[in-house]
Amino acid sequence: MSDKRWVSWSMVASAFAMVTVFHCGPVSTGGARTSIQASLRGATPTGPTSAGWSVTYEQALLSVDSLRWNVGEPVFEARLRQRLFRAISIGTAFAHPGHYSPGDALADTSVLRVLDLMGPTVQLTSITAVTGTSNSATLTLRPADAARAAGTTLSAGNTVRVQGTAAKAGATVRFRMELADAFDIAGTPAHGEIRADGTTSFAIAVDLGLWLDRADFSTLAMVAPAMDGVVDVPADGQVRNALFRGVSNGSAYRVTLLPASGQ
Amino acid sequence: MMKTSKKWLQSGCVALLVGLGACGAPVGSIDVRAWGEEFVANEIPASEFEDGWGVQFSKFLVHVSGVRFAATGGPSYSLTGGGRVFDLKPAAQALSIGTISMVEARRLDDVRFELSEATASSTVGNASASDLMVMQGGRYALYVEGTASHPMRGTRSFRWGFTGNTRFSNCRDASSQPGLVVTSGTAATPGQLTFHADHLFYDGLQNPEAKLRFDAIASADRNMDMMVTLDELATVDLTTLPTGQYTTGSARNVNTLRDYVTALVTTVGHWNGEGHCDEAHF
Amino acid sequence: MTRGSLTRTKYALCAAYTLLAPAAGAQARAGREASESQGATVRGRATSGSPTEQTIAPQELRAVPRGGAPDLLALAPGFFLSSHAGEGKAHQFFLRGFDAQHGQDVEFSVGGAPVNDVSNAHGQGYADLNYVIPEVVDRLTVIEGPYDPHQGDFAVAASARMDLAVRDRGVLVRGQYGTYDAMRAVAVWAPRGASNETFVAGELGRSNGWGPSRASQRAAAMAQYQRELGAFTVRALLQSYAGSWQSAGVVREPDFLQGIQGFFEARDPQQGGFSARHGAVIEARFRHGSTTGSIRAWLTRREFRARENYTGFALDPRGDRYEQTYSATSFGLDAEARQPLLSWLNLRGGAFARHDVTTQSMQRERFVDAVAYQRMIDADVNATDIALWAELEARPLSWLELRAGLRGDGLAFQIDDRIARSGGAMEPRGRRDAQGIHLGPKASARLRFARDWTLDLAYGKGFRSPQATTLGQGENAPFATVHSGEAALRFNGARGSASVSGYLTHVDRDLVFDPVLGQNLTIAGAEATTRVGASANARLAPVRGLVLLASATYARASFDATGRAVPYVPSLVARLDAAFDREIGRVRGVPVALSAGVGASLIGYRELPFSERSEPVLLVDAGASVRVSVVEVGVKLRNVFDARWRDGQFNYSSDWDAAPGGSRVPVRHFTAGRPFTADFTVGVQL
Repeated sequence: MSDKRWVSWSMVASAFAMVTVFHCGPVSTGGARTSIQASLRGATPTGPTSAGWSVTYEQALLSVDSLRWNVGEPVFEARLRQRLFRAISIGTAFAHPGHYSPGDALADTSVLRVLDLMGPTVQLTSITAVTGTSNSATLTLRPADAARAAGTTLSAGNTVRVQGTAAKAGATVRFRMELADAFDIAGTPAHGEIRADGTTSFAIAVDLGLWLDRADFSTLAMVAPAMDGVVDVPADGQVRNALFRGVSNGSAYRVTLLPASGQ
Repeated sequence: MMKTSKKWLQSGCVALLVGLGACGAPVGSIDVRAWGEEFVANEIPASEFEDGWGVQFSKFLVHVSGVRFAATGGPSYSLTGGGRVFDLKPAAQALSIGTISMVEARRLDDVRFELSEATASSTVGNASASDLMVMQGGRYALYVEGTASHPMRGTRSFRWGFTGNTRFSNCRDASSQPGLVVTSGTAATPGQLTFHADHLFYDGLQNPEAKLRFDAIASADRNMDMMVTLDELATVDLTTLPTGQYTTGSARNVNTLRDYVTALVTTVGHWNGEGHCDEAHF
Repeated sequence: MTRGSLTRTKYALCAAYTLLAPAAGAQARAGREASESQGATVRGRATSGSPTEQTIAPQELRAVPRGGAPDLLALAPGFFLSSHAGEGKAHQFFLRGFDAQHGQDVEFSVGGAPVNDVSNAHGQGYADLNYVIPEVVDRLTVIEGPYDPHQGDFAVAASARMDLAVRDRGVLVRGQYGTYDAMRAVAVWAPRGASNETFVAGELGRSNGWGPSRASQRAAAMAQYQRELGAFTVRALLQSYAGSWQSAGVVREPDFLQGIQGFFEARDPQQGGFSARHGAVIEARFRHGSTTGSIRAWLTRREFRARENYTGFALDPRGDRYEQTYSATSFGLDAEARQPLLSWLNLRGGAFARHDVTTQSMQRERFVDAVAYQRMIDADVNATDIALWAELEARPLSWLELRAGLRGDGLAFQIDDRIARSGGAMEPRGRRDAQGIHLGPKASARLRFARDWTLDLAYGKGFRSPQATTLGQGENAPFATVHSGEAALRFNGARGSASVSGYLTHVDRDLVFDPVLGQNLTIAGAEATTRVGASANARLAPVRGLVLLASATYARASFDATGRAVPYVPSLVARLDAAFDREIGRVRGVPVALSAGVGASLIGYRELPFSERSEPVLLVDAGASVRVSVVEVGVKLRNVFDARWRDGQFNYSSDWDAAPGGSRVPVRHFTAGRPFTADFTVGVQL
């Protein structure tokens, strides 16, 4: 047999070997791009606050910039925190004293609107995502500019607006206040497996009860109401402090993985 | 000539085999230590605090259990003897709390320990019998006594016992290297459980810019006896403090200064000085 | 003398030559063979010390256009080179299912000096071959797998050695000008009467680059002298090189699709780097009775700086661009000898020592003004590698050849880490030292059957040293250990050769590139990987002047823990080179020669994170030249069909808007591949 033929046969044999290897090989690197859905709504208080006040909301508005689901475990949670290493990982240094590291982002979306938490549930669809186990979420709350605030009762330049009635032992206070602060809510527990099939859905409930859970409305007793009978909460008072702490606390945003359809 | 070569060859082969056979896994030992550093042994100076206070501990009792060193997919070694109570105040240097022998000399990347509630079966380390009784009586994981001083506001004492179990795991050293490298030989490799007492006074639970403060704690001394108790801290609602201080991040049910200091207990455990661990309640 | 003893004698001579060649350096062989070998290109073990060793004479295929000396590696089966960060930076090497990054899995040497940087902050084993002037590369020897005891650190997937010599004696002056204002001038003086290993060569080059932020410059000089001195053959090599480059970096695929970023556009124009290498090698080859051997000493000075930005502002609103620097003074010894012990048994052995004094750093800098704001690495690393090795070669039967060897490496590291400890402390992490020993057994068998056929079986254990800054005090240096086995069927005929092989390779501590951190990392819980692959290559010289070289390698790489594919590794790498070089006639008594070549590379899909695959790429280069007497005029066309292809491809998170709010979900990024280029050359060979 000539050299040329031997060489040709060798190439055919090698092609066979390669096909064999191909069929024995792994399928992929794992994971996939996908999308998720999320619903956002306000959860009104179901009982009195820890200070004993029954709060009825008339308005609750929140200016949301963005939502993000992360691999990183929240801090101060009664479960084992896991390592964050993945194939591609954004390393984050530990910080004192709470060691929240967001780790890789699995999904995020720009909301860029004022949410009426007393209104119907807001649906966010086709949120860009990749598969993986989400453990925490970050919410970015920013003051609304005039365009974003248009059509809502939130004043431009503010992030949060609440108005309602608080009652306790015969005392009733109508109140309202707005916060102009920017809030980065980080490390909110958001556990759930983001699946590849695009049906993963999270429900985000803003716990309005927790927002004012520590408010002592009796501190407003000496504040004269406005013409419409509503007390504008003073800037340096305990109630505003309570709302600020309530809004900034990540546990006020309950992120729940909804069961897959059909389950 | 050929004969000489043969002998030479045989000798070479034997030497190679002996060399290969001698390369078993080397072993070493771990000297497990505990320390509260200068902040416990001496003081937390006023320069560390944002509001001019300084703190000196007179007692810093920790109940340590579950000390374990492991290599991922490899061997695991534990400190035997169950939970023990140590007083880190008299420890001017790191306190040796046990030795683990016959440890494979390698990196043990999973280091963990527990700051857990004392039980009836707990024993004393370097602490006194009365200290042990205090810890067992309150089922404390951490018990601290001390005095805070301020040039203008005078002094306040505190005596706090904390319950709850915290596991510190996946510890990394200050160079962010996981676990501990055990070296072979007779000298034991030190591995130090470090307790950062200053964390009890941080004003942020999830804030890299958190500051040490004592003003609000001092003001909690409702009965003006110069002794601040946990019960008194429980009367201070966080909403009465400036919004930029004592932030809670995403921690739930942290409403008072007592809740706050108790939550900070879970952050005191460190590894080999400034190394960090993952924390978990259990 | 019986036929068997004749065969044994022939084998002994062959093996002696084989063993002597790598031991004594292929330089001498190159010279001697200049007149006797007109073409043996890809060969099996006919002249090698390892069953997977293949020797290539690249000048034979010089008609095929290439970028530079590193591109010669593509002639070896399975090699694919990516140049994703600018011309001047070390290539990224792919072979046998490995993404060897910038050299972490391939041991390179040129002219007898190791090339891989030890503990380079940019990548362990970083190997910048751009300093090599391609005109003086006489032989490229590739040992696939870790089967030879002479192979040391970084020989995980393969070793590659370039031997320098000039066969066309005289003076060569060549100029090149082409698209994107690319210019290159090279001069080679190879004094007639001196050995082929004696030459002086220099090279100057610059280019505006094929797109924004792609300009590059380079200057290189190499001088080598070799002569016989009684029982010794002495060789000295000096080289100096400096190169700088700009890099366009990555293109964010969604931004490209939305028209925000052009295919060749740079988002961060301050990316680029600088690399310099200055070195000397002195070598003495000797024969003492039946013992032959060599001793070699080398000294190298390296400077390296790279500035890259893969993530924009995703990590810090000030900007994520990082700067990595590395400087090293390295020196070492490499000695080996071979002695017949019995008529059928030879002993080969050697010693190797290397010491590297390095300084490295890595810092993030502000996007706008390049002011550093965070330092992640700031360390001095001194590394020592001392190795002893030996191999017994036995030929008990005429058709059977056995080899068994052992290599022991002792590596020691001293690290002075100046990064501050965590927790807000100001104190540096301080000094650490670590040491480790690696033993690597090797064994192979060759069965010869029929006239031109052999079956090779080989096993070897190799290693890669750790990135020193990751070591703890007293740590038993954790080598990445590779076990590899191979079976190969080879045919060596008079006019052609071919081989088919299959291999299995296991690495216990593999590294995967993390574009976010700009470093190669092990993946916690999935450090170990396995590769299974098959390779084939063939060489044909069907008519005088025509050489065909074809190869294909298919490999699958997976993590042991998960069974998932290792990302970024091409499944299939196929290459075809065809070169014709022949005198076609005479015009008025003046000889006229025609040279033409075509090279085609097929790079199969690459597995990417999130179960994605990159598209296969087919690239075709072509060139032709006419030589009339001493003058040669030619043209080199790269990427003839102007394929718009994505060179490096990654999936990770980035954000190129300094304002907060951008998405952090991982997306596809790519570096633009080289477009069509045409270069015209004029050369004079006196």
